[in-house]
Amino acid sequence: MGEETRNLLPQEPGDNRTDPPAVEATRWVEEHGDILFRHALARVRNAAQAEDLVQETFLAALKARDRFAGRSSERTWLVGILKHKLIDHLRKSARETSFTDLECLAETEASSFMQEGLSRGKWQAETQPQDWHADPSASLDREAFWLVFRECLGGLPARVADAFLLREMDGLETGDICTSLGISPGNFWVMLHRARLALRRCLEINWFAKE
Amino acid sequence: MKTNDNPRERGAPSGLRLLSLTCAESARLQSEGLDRHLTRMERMGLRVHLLLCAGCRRYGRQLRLLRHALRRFPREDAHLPGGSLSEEARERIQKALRQ
Repeated sequence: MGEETRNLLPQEPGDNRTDPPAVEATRWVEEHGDILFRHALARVRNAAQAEDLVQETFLAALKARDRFAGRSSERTWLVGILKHKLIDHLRKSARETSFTDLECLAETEASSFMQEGLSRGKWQAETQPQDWHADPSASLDREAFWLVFRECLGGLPARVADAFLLREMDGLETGDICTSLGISPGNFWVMLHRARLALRRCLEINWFAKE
Repeated sequence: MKTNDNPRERGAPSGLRLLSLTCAESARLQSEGLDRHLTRMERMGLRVHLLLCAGCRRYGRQLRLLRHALRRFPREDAHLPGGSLSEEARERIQKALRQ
């Protein structure tokens, strides 16, 4: 990749990082704007908010550019800043809306398991996890799989997806997420559980059962 | 906000009940095992259930694949056809950065 190679080279005068701020900023928007925008859009699902996040990221990067040590690629650095902006954003919007989405996927959980009789709590015949091929991870090398994956992720209720992706994509720990979003660990785990049930089922129906 | 961190309060099995888990309970425990340390009893109960239940074993494998895919998704997503910054947004951002 271009960025990585550039950072392996000795820093010389005329290197990008010595460009005047305005020139550097223009180059950033051209080189990384779309990628950052898509990162943001995947998480906030609203183009205007995603654009704002990209702008805030570049502004923060511009202020902090002396601290960019060139140890990571420029893009990795910018994505890292975007992550912080995203968490701030989610924290603020969590305060503005109440956490009612917990109930959203309750139906998914209820319909996965028998509700009555001796078999109560067993998988329902039609939603029981099916065998996904001998080597399901081979799917991860196919572009078509990721298109389906993106669709399935987009189908999660927004608040559930926020919490779920902070955990799974950003790899944050339960305590940090619960503090940021103002939810209890118990509720958080229930949300994750339901999100996984829903995502699994969506992938099975739209990918693994079809292939 | 109602807190239900206590497993009893949120209807989660505890004590000896852990040795006769239903699929619904074991699915929830398998998920929680990805986010917190399960107690020894919980792990033991889960092992007993998984020994007997092919559906839940499959579910566990799929959860691990899901986690792996989620970690990889941002990288893959960057290469998928999809949204890009509009010309207007691009100009607005450029302008903001020059100030």
